[in-house]
Amino acid sequence: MHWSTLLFILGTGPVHAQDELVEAGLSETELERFRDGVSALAEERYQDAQGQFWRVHLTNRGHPQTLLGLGQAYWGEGQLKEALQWFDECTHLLEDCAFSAGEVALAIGNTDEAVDRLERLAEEQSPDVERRVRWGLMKAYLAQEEIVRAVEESVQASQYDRDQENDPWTQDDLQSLLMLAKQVRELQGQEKPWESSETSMWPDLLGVLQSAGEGMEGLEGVEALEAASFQIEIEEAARRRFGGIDRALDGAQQELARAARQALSARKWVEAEQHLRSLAAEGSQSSEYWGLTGRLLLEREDTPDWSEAERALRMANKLAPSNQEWGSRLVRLLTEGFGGRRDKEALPVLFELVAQNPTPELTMQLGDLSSKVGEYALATRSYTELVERWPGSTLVEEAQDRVAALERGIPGAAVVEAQPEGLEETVQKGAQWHYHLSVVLQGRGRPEEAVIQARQAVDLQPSWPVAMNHLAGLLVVDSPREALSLWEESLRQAPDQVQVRTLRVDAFLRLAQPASALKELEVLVGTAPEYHFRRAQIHESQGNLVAAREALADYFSGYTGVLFREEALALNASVAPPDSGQPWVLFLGLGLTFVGGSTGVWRWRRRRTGLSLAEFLDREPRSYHDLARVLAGMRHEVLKHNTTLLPTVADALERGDRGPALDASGILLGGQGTSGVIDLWDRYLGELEAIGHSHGVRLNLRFIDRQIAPMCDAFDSLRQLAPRLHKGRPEFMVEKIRAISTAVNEVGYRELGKLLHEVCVLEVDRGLLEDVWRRVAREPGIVGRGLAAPVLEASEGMNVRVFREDFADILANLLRNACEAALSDRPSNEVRIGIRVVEEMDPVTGLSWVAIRVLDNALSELSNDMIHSRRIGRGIGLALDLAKRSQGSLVVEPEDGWSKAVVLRLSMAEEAEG
Amino acid sequence: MKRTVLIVEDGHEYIDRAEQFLSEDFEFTRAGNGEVALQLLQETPYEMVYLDMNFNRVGTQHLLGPWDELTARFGGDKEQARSFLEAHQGVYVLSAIREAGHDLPVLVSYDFSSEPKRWIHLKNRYGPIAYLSDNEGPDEVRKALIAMCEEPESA
Repeated sequence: MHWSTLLFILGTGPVHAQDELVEAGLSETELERFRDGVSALAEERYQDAQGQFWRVHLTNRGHPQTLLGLGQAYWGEGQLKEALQWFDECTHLLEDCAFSAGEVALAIGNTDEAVDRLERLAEEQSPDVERRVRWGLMKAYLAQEEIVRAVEESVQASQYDRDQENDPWTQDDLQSLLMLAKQVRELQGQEKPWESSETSMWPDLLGVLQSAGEGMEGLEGVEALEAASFQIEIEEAARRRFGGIDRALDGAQQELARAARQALSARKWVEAEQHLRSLAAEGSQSSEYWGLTGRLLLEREDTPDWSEAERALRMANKLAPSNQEWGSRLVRLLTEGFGGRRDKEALPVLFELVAQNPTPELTMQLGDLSSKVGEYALATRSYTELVERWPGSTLVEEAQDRVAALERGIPGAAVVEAQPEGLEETVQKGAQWHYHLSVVLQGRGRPEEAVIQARQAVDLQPSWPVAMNHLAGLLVVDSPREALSLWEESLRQAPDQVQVRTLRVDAFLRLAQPASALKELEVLVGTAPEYHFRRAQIHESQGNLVAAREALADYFSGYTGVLFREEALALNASVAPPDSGQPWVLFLGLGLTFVGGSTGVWRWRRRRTGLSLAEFLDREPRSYHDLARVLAGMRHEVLKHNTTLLPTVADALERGDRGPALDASGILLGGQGTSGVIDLWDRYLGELEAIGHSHGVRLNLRFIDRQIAPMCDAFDSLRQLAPRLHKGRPEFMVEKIRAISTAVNEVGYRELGKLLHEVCVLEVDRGLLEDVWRRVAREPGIVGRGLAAPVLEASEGMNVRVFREDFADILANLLRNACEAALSDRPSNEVRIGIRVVEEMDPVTGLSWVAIRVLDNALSELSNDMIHSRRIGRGIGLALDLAKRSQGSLVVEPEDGWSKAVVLRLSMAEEAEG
Repeated sequence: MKRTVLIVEDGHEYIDRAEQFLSEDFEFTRAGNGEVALQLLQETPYEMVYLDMNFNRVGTQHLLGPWDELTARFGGDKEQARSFLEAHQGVYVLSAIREAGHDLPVLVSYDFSSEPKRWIHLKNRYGPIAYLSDNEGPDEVRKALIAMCEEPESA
């Protein structure tokens, strides 16, 4: 923004004429100072520039370029209000002052004032308003969310450029343009009235984007644009319109690609690399080039790291999403190269691949991967599609089995959108098309567009339950009533949809209509008696304990499966009548029945019931490992590199620099085909809730959890703030950003660490070892055999990273194994068992371990091979699995004075931790 | 003049953020693993190193560290050995940098605040080093890098 004005000062036209014009009326001394000021500006020494221009101003107060220079110097220092005052002084003298004043007003956040100033300037310059003024207006309208006018200005600016063959647009201009494109896209998605006009703005804007892209050469230009954009819509537009196209290979390039392929197949890496270099030198940016490069990096043994291979394959996949080879390789890299850690990232790639190349094998793979990462609805849909689309495939039986397993095994699994029999012939092609498009859009995280497509499918085929169910699923959160009526119609068409009824139950509860939910459940329990439990839950939550007990009795008498079993037992215990007659309990129950009926109390209860993570861990200690995985992900993937940017954004905004805010918006909201950190947070929360659900427990993380709830609040605030980070008023934003940063980066980070620490650090001391021994000594094979107590050698308590239950199980298994082995070949009175606990340290990493050495004098041999190949029973396999889960190890080592030591090593946690 | 920093990380997160937010003060180069880092240090006199800890996106053959010893420690379980090497690769890279005779300051991206004894050990063995917790933003990284560069011994 500074440069346009600076160029004017320095002289962009005929230099001498400009110099004469600018320098007119200045004495020699003033001229020297003025030139020094200009040089200082050019070198970004703003304080020096201020000094020089100020001196000129003292002796020549009306000189417009000096006033402009002063404004520029203050602007450069980030003193925007002062800059505006200087520009104001010369606005009537110099168009550049008027323009700069508008730009500064915009930077300060006074959008109305910016528009006012720039409009006036545009009127004065009529009829041929220069490009930069139009740009300024475009940005000002954008800040005012006057999208139509902003598009008009950008189109005219583009036209002006074409006429004048102006300089290429700056990165700043492009960012504004891409933001505008995003907003247009969003507005179109919302079906704004103007969308119905014959000339939609989107093509106009794409034309502008195209002309911007044409000014840049090759892929670099596209990448620069993409780097500036932060929404997938823009990425798609950019790709479609200007350059991200898969450029065809010419004859010589084809020859090089073929030679590279042959060399790769022959594993001649150097030769392949040479061919690919030649291909690049020939200027190829084709998917073939990137794909082969990715393959080379992936297959050769001396590849420095896989991230370069991943980049190349992603590029190939992006340029040619329908190319099965590159997509498959990328999926394989992500799923097989990282031990399952990046399966979720592979899912959208595979999804796109299946959409482009639908085959039974790929569809099956999509089902398997979806199931593995917990996307059960997508898994079910994939398997079902395989069955319906390729009935003759050898994979059909397997797919059917998996659908059945999914239906059986997952409480609350999403609705199976299977086609009711007899309907497929009647569904119009158009409806099917819109439905599938909607599914794809939903998969890409674009729910608003998915809803539009789903509505069109339902409009075209109102009797099609599949589309109705899908649309209802999309609407249920925001418009539960509409979702309910869609499901009602769907059930009228196909009454035997158990899961649709369960979804209706949830929707009624969401609307605080428990009576309707109960009515739906009355129908449901006819075919699925396990749902008596849900009836009991609802009665209990309303304080109707008698009805809850009756429903539970129906559950236990009518259903013998495992679904909801543990939860039902727990509920049964909590609603059981009191042992002794206590009249106040009855009154309390009656009171609760009365009060619990109201909507407010229902919501109140929902917010205050459920378990916190700490309570859940107490109740379900075995869930620790799953929870720890998610919590560690929250801590390292959500916070690291992401929300830690917030203080920098706040500092920059205070200085008047919006660049970091714009960058941060992209990171927080996502784009370029990747999720934003806010979505990532939501996904992790969903994973935690799903872990609770899998144990039959409702986790209430958002309202009652001491550690997570404040972070949820902070992320909610961030969600509202993120889209406005770069355009809101800095004075309002800064304080909020700092508060969010404190809640997330400092308190949240610390609290998550504490939570992880509290549950996984255990002090191992003599008392604990003796407790475990007593437990083993009471077991049937050992009790009464007269074994002597083990020899214990343990110093003061040492903290190890393991969950208490796991540790007790591992040690019990090792002790039991030692006793049984010794008892099998020695008389009881000769059996000796010992436990020695020692600290060990690795000097290279500085890590310490606690080694728990379980000693015995058995004669039979036990080797590492036997442990790790699981050729022995006696619970050693379980001990090994539990040790591994805690990143520990289990090995057999010699020990002086004993037959052997089975050594459990666990990481040591230092005292200061937490 | 900008200070030169070698970033050693398995992905591109550090380099991307550094170039986005810190490029005014520093010139960054990325090494995707320990081997490449050693090679670059041999060729170019960087002023400091900014080192990631967990390298779980690197091929097994490019992880530095005592493979055989670790495999034996985990009872022959190569997967566990690999997982361990990945999780602590930063320290093995640090060790290799010092063994190769490079004594430039190294900033490790890891929170050692809960492991004071371990940190003292590492500092004595590999200094000059400093660490920065994962929850610090670009400004803190800038400050730490500048402090490392100006007073490496105080780190």
